[in-house]
Amino acid sequence: MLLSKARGKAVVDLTTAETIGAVTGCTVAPSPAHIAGLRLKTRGRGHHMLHWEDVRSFGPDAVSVEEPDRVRDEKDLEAGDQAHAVHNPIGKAVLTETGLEKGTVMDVEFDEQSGRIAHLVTADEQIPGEDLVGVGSYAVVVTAPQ
Amino acid sequence: MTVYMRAGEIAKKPVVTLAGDDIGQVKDIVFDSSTGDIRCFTLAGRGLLSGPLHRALLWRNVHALGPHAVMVRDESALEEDDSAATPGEDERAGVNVLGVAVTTRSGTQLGRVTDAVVATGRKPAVAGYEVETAERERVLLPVAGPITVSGERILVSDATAQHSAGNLGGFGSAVEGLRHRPVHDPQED
Amino acid sequence: MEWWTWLIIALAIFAAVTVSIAALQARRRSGGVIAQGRRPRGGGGPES
Repeated sequence: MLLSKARGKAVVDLTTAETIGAVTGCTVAPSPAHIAGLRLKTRGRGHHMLHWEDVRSFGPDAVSVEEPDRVRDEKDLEAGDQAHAVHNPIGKAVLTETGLEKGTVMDVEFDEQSGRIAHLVTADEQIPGEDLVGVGSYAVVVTAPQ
Repeated sequence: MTVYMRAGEIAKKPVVTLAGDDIGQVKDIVFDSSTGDIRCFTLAGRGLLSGPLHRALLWRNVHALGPHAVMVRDESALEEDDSAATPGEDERAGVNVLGVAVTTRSGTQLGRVTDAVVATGRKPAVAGYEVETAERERVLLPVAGPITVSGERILVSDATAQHSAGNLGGFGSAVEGLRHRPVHDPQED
Repeated sequence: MEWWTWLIIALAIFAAVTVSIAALQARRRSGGVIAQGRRPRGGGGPES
């Protein structure tokens, strides 16, 4: 599934059947490349984060959560946390290990079951998930083509 | 094939870890005047209001020097201070070559240094200088090996003046031309 | 003078200080190409 298609999907609390919020984005961690967390827009102020491990299922119309208290305010996360917003790849420059810039990440294609990332999508190409080295405050680093 | 880059293109480049964080940007390029080898970079912070970082980055800790960024493994690649960029006990204070005059050993002034040309690769070195001549023309002069430099001028061999290039594309052949010049002047080394 | 003239003056001073600090720091961030090496041995060096 493409992240752009997952945006706006409702996040549902399985214990109360209430909507907690809507998916706005994701954070990504390497080796192997996977979705580390989902960014949510809740009714309250600011953005909230949900760790991927706390997602019960990622359905075609809604994302379900069993423990809604696992949804954390983005400001409460430490920078080292893989769900921290600095690990959001969207809009960041792609930089190879050798220091060459090649486009900007526009979208992420991932598996809804495992959270594994198939591709990072830029304007010109699809970069395989296994090439991902890291996502930080400045860039998305990928291995250099041989 | 050696790729040549202007030092001015390296300065201000972000220093990025493999985790994707920018931890600084290149300020000075420090090289050894006897070999031309680049020893280290000094760094500055990234923000609009940030100044020098006072942490040096030794060449051996650079993962890759690319056209858009200097890559390092992680933040531990940086030295704790910038003592690596300060001269050793038997050395004199470093001289910034930008702006100094280039003079041949026989006394012809070729111009003033506006930039340095760096040969990139496994062992990067300063391979020459971009010089603005008295006629306001910019030429690239290949200067390999040891240089004699003071705060006022760089002394280069007389042969250097005959081997210049107008751009980085022609610089490689200018270096080759200087290296394989037919008659070796015994005064020069 | 009106109260807002003072506000404008204060804002202008603040803006000027910010711009000058940013300019100063930009100059401190810009570096050079530094030649380092041994002191020339013996007399006759061009620096002596």
